[in-house]
Amino acid sequence: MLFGIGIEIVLTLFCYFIKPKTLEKINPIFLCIEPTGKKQISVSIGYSVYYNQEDEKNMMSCYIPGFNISFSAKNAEAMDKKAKALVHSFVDYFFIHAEEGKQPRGGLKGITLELHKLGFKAANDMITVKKLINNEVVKAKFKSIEGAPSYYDTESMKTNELQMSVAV
Amino acid sequence: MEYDIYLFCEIIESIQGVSFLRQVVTDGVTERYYQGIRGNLAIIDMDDDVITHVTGCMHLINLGLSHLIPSIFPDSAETFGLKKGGEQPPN
Repeated sequence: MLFGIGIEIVLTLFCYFIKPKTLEKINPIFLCIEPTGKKQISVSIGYSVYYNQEDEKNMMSCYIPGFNISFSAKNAEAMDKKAKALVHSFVDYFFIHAEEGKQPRGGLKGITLELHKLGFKAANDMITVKKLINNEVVKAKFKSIEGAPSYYDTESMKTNELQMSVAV
Repeated sequence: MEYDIYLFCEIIESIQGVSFLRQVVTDGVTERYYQGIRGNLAIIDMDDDVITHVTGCMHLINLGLSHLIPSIFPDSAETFGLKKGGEQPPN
């Protein structure tokens, strides 16, 4: 019996320490909210870019899963620049400019609802989402498990991270 | 294959239910925000004059306009599981 309990503890510890790290390595799409001050938060975003090299004129078709953003670029350098700008602008839009009808829906509520709509999930999802919708600043890490559609080359993928500081 | 981005924007703006939200410039990259017929958001990068057919098709899917793929991008329709359109029947 003691042996059984021992195995269970070892397995629980394995799942707790090993699994999240492995998953994060495979799936680097996340948005992490961390309070840094009274009305200030730090937002770190992890994203990946899948790309296909088109034959003619060397244009590339690129896709950022999770955030559901598609764009074209002329070369790898332009792709990195555009991907960063698009993800930055996406987060910025939902923090500041989003509207519902004629009512503003920005801030933590705006970004949380949009992330949820796109399939991002946090630990204790419902409780975290409820707190953030009520503009309660809590630490949260939203993760997405979305991959690229089949017509993107799944082996051509770049990952990157972005840091932002936001006043709420 | 490539497609003129301004022509693409004119086409989607002419469709009822698609609305232009705003144009922003972030880190030197010009982007246009459109809201699709089901309320989904599509961010179209306007930095280059052209977009690839795959990107164009993805924007149309995002906006809920996948039925337009065969007529706007007939060569890419089959890639997205749609029938190739725009072909005239023989006389």
